[in-house]
Amino acid sequence: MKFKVQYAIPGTPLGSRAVAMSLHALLGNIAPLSEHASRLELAITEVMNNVAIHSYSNDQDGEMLVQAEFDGKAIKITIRDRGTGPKLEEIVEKFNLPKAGQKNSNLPQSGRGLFIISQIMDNVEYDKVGEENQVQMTKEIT
Amino acid sequence: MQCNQEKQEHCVVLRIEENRLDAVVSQDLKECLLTMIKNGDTDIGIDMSPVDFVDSTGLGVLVSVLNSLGQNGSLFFWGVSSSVKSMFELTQLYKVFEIYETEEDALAKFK
Repeated sequence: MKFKVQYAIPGTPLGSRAVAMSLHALLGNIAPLSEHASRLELAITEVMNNVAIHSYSNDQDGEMLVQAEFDGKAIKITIRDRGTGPKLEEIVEKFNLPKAGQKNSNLPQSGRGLFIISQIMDNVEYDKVGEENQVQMTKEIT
Repeated sequence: MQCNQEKQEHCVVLRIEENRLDAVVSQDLKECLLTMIKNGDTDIGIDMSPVDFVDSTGLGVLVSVLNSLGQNGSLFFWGVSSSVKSMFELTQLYKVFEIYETEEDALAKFK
C-alpha cells in the first residue's frame, strides 16, 4: 500500500501532538509499517518539537507543514517551517550517553531529540529552501 | 496536567494521569516535581502506568529532577510500559533511572 498525507498545523507542541497521534494511528494500521509506528511517531515528534521550541520559540503564529509518504519500500517524512531554523550547534551537538550508575551528576537535560532521530531514521537532511527550513528523513521498511 | 500526589511513610508518590509525557505537559510536570522538592519531598516515586509515550522533553524533565535531587533524594518509577522502556533503552537512561516492576517492589526499598 502506498500513501501520501500532508498536514498544515500551528508550529506548537499541541500541533505536534495532534500530528504525531494521527500518524501513529495511520501507520499502526498499515501492515509493513505497524511495527515501526511508535518509533516513527517519536522521530517525527522530535523534529516537530525542534520546530515549535527552537525555530518558532513557541510562537503561536508559526505554521508547520508535515508530509509523510510511503512508496511501499520506504517512508519519507518532510517537515517545513518558516521560523529561525535549527541552530548548527544543536544539529551537531554531541549526545553524552549516561554511564551505568551515573546518578546525581550533571546529566545533559537537552540534546536527546537529535540523537533519537538519528537512531530511528536511516537518513536525515536539514536544508534551507528559499525562506523555509526543511527536514527530510527517510527509513526503509523491510 | 493533573499532579496527583500521595504522601507515604518514607516518600511521596506521584501518579501521572496523562498518556503522554511530551512538550505539551513537560513544563507542568517539571514545575510539579520541583515544587515537591522545594517542599522537602526528596524521595519521589512515579507511577507511570498510564503513560505510553515519552519524548525527549519528557525525559529532559526527569533528568532535570534527578540532577536537582543530587545525592539528597531519589527518583524512582514503576508501571513502565514497553514503549516507555524502549525509550529509556534507546537513550540509555535505564542506566541511571531506578525502575521497578510494581509499586510494592518500589516501596520495599524503604523497608
